[in-house]
Amino acid sequence: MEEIAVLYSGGTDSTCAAALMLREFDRVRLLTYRRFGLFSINNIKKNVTLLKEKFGKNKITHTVIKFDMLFKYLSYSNYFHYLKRYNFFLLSTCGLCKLSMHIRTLIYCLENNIKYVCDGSTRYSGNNYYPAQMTKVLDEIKAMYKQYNIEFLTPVYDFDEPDNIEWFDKLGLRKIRILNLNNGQGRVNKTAGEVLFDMKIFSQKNVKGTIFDKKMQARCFQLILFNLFLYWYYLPIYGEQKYIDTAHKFFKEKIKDSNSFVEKYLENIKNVNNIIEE
Amino acid sequence: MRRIIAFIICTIAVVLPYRLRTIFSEILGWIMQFLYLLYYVIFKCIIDNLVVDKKEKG
Repeated sequence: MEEIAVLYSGGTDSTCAAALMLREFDRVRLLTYRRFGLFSINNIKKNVTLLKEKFGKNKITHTVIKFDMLFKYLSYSNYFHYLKRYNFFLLSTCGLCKLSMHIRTLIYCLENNIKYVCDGSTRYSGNNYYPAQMTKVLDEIKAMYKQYNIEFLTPVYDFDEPDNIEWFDKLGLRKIRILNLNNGQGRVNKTAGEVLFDMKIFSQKNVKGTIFDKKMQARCFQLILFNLFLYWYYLPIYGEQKYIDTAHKFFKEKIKDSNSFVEKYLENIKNVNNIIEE
Repeated sequence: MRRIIAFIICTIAVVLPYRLRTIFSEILGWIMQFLYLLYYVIFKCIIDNLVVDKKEKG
């Protein structure tokens, strides 16, 4: 029986990735991660129910894993070394959080003999500035999995970006038709929301920024620190290319640390085991 | 000015331990939400008045 683990946030992209994998694999294991700072985690169950209704309960398992200590370890290990070399890049909370999830998923896969992993990474997410979704960093993550004979897939990576209809939705502009929305004109591929709509899982095509969208994901405000660092400080001073190169270097080093962490876990070193089995 | 604000906030955040940094970003997050709400209320008020005006003329 072929199985795949999906890093599942409950949002449109990871739900779409899970739905696509449910057509390819016999069984899908949805892995949701929780830690201090992630709130409204129960929102995630909403789309799990929709997926189970569509594909059957037997094909899907949903597990919530706590990873506070691992995230803390990855964010704060060798702190002065990283502070000296990369300073405010240490505030890339989203990237470090996602990397911690990948390490935990890798260990989960090794423990459960799963050979495939996927997530809902997209090219457009955060203007492709979110470190864990940058092409170069994703290649490093793929290589990390490959070392343990696990294939990491990104099935929705090249999907198109939906229009963000947050303000139209909140202000009721969609109903009174003062403004015309793009409705996907000029796009090459479908968006994740459109795919889910076609599969009859979602009731509307574009949900980005809607209340429905917010009610299906956990809430996290730590993105604000990263955005302040990136858009108000780093990009205006150093520019895009320098950011991409430094973020790549920073995460490459962090992934190297992660590899030695996984090796220590496999060697059954007590301190490392305590971090995983918190 | 924005660079200075960002630099100060990032300097504080980078020296904070795990939980305090999370709480610090929560506080910043709620401040942003409040500013967002103000923006929304003002914008909504303008839109509503425009709609009423359009209906009266139409």
